[in-house]
Amino acid sequence: MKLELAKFLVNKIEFGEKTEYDNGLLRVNKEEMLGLIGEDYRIENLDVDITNPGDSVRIIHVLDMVEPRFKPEGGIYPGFLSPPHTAGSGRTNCLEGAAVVLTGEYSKTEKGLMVSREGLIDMSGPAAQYCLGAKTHNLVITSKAAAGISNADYDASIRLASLKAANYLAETTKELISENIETYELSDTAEGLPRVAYIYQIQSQGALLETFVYGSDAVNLVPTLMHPNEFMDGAVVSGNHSMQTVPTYIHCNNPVIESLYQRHGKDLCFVGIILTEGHGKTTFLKERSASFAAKIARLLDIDGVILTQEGAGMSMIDQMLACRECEKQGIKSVVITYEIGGMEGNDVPLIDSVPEANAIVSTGNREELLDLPAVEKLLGGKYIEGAFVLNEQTEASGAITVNFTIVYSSTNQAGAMKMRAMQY
Amino acid sequence: MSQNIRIVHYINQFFAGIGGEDKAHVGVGVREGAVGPGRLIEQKFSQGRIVGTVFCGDNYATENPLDAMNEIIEAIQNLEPDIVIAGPAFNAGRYGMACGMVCEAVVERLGLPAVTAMHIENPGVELYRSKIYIVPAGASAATMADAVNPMVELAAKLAAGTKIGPADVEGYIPQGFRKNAISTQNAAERAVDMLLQKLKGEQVKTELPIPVLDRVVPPEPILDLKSATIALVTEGGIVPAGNPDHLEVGRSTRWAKYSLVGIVDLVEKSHDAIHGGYDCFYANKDPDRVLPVDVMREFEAEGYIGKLHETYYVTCGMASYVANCKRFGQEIGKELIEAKVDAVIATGT
Amino acid sequence: MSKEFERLGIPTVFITSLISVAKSIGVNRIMKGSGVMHPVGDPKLSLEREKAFRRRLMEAALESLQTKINEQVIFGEVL
Repeated sequence: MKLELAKFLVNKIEFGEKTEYDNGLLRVNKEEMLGLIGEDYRIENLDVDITNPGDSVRIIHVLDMVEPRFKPEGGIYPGFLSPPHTAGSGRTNCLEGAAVVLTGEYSKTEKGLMVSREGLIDMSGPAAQYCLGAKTHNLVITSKAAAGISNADYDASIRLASLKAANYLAETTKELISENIETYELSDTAEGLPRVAYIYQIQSQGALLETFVYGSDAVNLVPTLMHPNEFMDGAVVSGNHSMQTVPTYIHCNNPVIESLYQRHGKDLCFVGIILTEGHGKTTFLKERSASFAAKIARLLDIDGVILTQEGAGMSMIDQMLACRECEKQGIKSVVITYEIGGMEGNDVPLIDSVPEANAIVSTGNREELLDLPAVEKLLGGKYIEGAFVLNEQTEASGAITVNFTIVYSSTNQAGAMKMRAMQY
Repeated sequence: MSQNIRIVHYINQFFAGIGGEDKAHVGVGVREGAVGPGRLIEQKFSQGRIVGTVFCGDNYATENPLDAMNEIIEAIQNLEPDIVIAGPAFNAGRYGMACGMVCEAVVERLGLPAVTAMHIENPGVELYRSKIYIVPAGASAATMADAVNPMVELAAKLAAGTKIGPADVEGYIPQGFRKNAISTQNAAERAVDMLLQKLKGEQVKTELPIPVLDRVVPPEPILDLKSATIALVTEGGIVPAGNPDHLEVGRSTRWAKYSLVGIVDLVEKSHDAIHGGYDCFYANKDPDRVLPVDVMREFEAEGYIGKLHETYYVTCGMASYVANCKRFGQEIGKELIEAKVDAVIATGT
Repeated sequence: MSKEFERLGIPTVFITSLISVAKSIGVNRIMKGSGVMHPVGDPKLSLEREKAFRRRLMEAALESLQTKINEQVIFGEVL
């Protein structure tokens, strides 16, 4: 399976008469864009805006982030924009440095898991170095749920809108030739090197907290084998809007996949990806999942694995169990995890751990606090939702103190960011 | 940076040259300039000088902490320091606790920086690490130079008002909290590096050691005291007169057991207190003050308890190594189980 | 040591003046001793009174061994 990723670098986004990619400048015809994604009775107050790095802009209610990608021969975001055929070969065009940022305001009438989610991106200031989305040129989609529409229905609509928008933007490169083409292929030059797999956990708990594999939610997914290229074409799409879960942007640009590809044939042999579902609801499902993951690894004669998780405590337990099962089989493991060490950083940092997890990479304590200055422009909503802001009465454009939990992807669970926690 | 940072150094009676265990009761005193280990500190601390040395007996400091700290802090304040250095206390338990207390009081009451050094197993570490900067030291004064260098380095930074970084960068014993920082590589790159190290069999430095909370579930209590066999164990160094097995007086590597058959009361002539960590005068006068055989025999005669186990176990709990203590517990515990002992009363100093 | 005895299933009370150390080590049953130099004595008292004091202390220690606990408990000071 060979994929050519043709990159078109974006260094500015602006509205214009014609939607086009012009030598680094991405111009967007707003009316045309709204016409494409707006024909849905479940969405109200739909609008799009643009913002560039360095702007005094704060985006709140961020739900997902998608990189504009397009396949000239079709097949991007399979299961959503194309049939669920195996993705990951041929040519894929991507607008590197650009992103569709999806925000949304849910109805407040629902309870439990169906409540609003929060994520914050600052395009400048202290948070910009921590959050995903601050260094990309963004098209921001804002809207709210139409009256009488369930949050699950609304969520499904805006997800489709964001994928369509991403495809629409990248389609501008249809007739263009990229000077920067990267080829991804698991070549056989790596024979004799340590065989490495990536145990890639996705969480699928139910609406608003779900992840899609080829368009279908991954609830109770039995661990399965995938080729890394499939992710680059959007085989996995996020509908998981909780805390520090993995955005679609990162599923397509997964940093573990990228790092393993870079070492493939040099230091290791990248064999493939074992996709597992986190948040197993019962011990039975947890043990079954961990055993299956380790079994696939053993069948592939794997020497070492990297494990990432998605979600909170339940998913951490699943990750730790999978780590233990692998180590039991003699497979060396490294665990990537965020920490929940409390605002002062003095709490026990993990919800669960096993002694076998003796090699852990930290993506930071998501409960630490961060002071943010006031900004000129606010997108996505007016007030920050939930308990992760210390001054919830303040309009979100003002100076506020927030928990890293809502600083978008700052402790990214797939390991995309540079933050970590240090022992003092 | 100022060449004239004013340092006050705190030490115990031993390092002040007053005397050993027999002088542990002495109160607070002040000497001009550097004394004992202070001379080495001053030599290494190029930007500052020791304006005075405050000392105090270890027993005085730990047994009357309120009075002692008031007096020590007053003495320190009078010397108008920019920073206070205490110790190194190595693995001396009471000295370590005193150094911890002094540094804590300096930080809290005087608002000045303070630093000390001690062995990782010194009880002062667990008690004060979260509040002050403690640099790791060896177990004994033979390692003085190794302890003084990092202590002085950290002290110089603190005196200059430099922000103190993570524990393994700055070389202090972790205070017990974690803080976010930006790394040079993303987490995925670091994970692949770590995995390759692990696959090569190299030592891996995890970024998050799994927290080991070693808590023991309390066993069921004694149901019937009248039929129970109770054993006495002490860390207080009570041995038969003359210390026949030459049990060490501190930093023990061994434990001992002695028969209590026919003994109803411990007296000055029958048993000695040999513990090197406290003044044994009172315990020598009446060893029952540490190993209460007299009262246990009375309970036995009255039928209040079933019986006193006819063997007692002893070690000297001074500056003990945690690993050794654990081993003693396992070894003695095994014998107690074999002897069908129902419960233990352990005494420590 | 006390912790290891309890790990083996033998209820154990540790009488010490350094309560905070016992606490941080994780000893389950802790009782405050009368002094570093004399955990179960008090030389300030006459020998007769001192022995009565020691009896009360030891009775309290035995009582702690008959008390069901679920976590670390510091049993009260004996006067």
